Amino acid sequence: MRGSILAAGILAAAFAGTASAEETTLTLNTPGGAVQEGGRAVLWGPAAKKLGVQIKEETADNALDVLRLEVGSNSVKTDIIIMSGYQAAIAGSQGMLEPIDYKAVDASGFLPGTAAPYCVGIYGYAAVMAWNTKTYAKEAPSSWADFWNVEKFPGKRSMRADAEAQVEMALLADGVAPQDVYKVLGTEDGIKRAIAKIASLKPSISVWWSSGAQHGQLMKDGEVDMTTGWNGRFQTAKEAGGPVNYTYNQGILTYDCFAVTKGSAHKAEAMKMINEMSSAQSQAGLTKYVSYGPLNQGAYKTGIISKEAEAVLPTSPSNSGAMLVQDIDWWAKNNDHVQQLFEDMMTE
Amino acid sequence: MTALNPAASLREADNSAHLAWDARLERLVSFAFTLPCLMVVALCVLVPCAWLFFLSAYGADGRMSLENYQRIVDGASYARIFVTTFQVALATVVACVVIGVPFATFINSLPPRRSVLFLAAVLLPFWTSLLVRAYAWLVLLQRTGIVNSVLMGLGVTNAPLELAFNHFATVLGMTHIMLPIFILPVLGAMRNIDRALIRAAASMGATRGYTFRKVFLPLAAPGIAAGAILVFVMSLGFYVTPAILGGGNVTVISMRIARSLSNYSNWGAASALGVLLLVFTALLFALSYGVQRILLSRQRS
Repeated sequence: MRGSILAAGILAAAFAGTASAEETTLTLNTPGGAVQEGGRAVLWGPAAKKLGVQIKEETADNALDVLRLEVGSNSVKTDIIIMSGYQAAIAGSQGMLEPIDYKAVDASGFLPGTAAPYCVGIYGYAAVMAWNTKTYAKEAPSSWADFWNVEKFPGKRSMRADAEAQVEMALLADGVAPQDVYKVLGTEDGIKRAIAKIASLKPSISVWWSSGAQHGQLMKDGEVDMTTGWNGRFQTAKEAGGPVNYTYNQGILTYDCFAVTKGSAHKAEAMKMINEMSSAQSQAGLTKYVSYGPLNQGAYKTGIISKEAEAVLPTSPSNSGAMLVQDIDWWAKNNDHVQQLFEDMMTE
Repeated sequence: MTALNPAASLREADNSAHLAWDARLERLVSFAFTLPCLMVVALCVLVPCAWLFFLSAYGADGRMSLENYQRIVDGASYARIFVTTFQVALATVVACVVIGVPFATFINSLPPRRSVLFLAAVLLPFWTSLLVRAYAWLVLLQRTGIVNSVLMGLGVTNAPLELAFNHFATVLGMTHIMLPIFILPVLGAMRNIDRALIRAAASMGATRGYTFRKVFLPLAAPGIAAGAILVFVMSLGFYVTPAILGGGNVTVISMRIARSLSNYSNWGAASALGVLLLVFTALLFALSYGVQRILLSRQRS
């Protein structure tokens, strides 16, 4: 009697084993929208087929909340999660992510700084400077120093109502070399210097923007003459015939990435999936769906991306060199403190 | 005769005891009727409030601490944000009183059919979305907006005026939203004023202005005070209007609460701000309630 139960148990376990080997199902959490649609078509769709696994898609507005819930309650369902590099750095430092196994994931062709200990970049976008082409018809501003130069380029400015990327811009404007920005920000004096630089521009800042839609609208309406913001919005405004232009010079490059939940039951498969999805071919294909730039530089050699598209993508070889890749670890460590100082400055 | 009296008074005493019991029973029954209502209040107001206090006492590391309150005391911006919030709310109240009292007086003086027309004009914006109204103001006020275009077209100014993204635009937008909420209780109070009193004052030789100041206004005062308190308390919690029309130059508490959640995912910090706002509001409410009672008692005497 007892033996038969045991035998049945072993048999069941054996069947369960074969079943899972045949169709492992990985749960993948996405932010939805065009990323999900394009990702299904060119990233995890083809990769899952190749590796013989099933993908179950889920969506969430805030990836950090998903991780906090699942890891915190010890019921991990999500295997792969899409989040911003900054969020991944926070989640990694709080023990909610598996470190990426770079033996399984080939990130050799990636832009430096976009394949991090806890996440592998998918696409990059940049915080850049845009200006009204009518206001500055004779000479266009070309650097953050120009953004701060209200004598040479008089007019209303707009900056983000959040310290993110703005403190880097301030230091670049203050004459700090791109490679030294995070060295300077590593000290309290450096942080204060950046905040003070923004404070000095306050009389010319008429609006603090809080969303991409807003800074796009501000430029289109001619409400401000110069603003910081995301490249995609300005490209759209420019293509729509608005009096808007922007430069990648001294832009701050950030990215979204794939990460693996701590305690995932399919860690090894997840790494293999990420490796497939990071190929030049996959990343190049995604540009058909989103206006973000592939991080695997090989993507620009696949012939999938047209010359015209390449010219406006932030990560293309001709654009990325002029930019600073954001240090997500610095932000994960300093965010609360910097935001506090930034808000003190804003409300003063 | 004298022998009967004690018995009668005894019966009366018995009766009064019964009556008292009846009254108590009636109170108990009517209290039982309000029980479902009280339960809803407890569930929807008291429990969340208690939860708010509870959360505010926990630090980011999940241990009980006062760090959320410490941060508010230490951070330079918090005091400024509280001051800004109360300033904006107070300015909105003043604007509502300045516009609303004459307007309510005017509506009150009209015959009923015409007053309905003006009342509808007050209530109509009430049914439009908050967001739409804020953006509508932006269309009017921004640098390239209608007001500046007209002013510059007429040659009133050479450079566009800074009308949007400041305290002015915020208070304007909030006044627009709060005006119906202010006018309705004020109008209610004005409608309840006995017109005979006005006529009596006039018959004794008081001028119209004197009657208005000495008779009409004091009688309408409790309604005005009620409207003002309502507007003030509601204005303290505004989010959308200051966020859009303030353009980041006007930071109110509700915006900081949202930021604490979206930026730091810190429920404790957000709760502490909520608790402080609640406490300040309750204090002001108690204060104004006292003022209102004084006004009412003075009116009776």
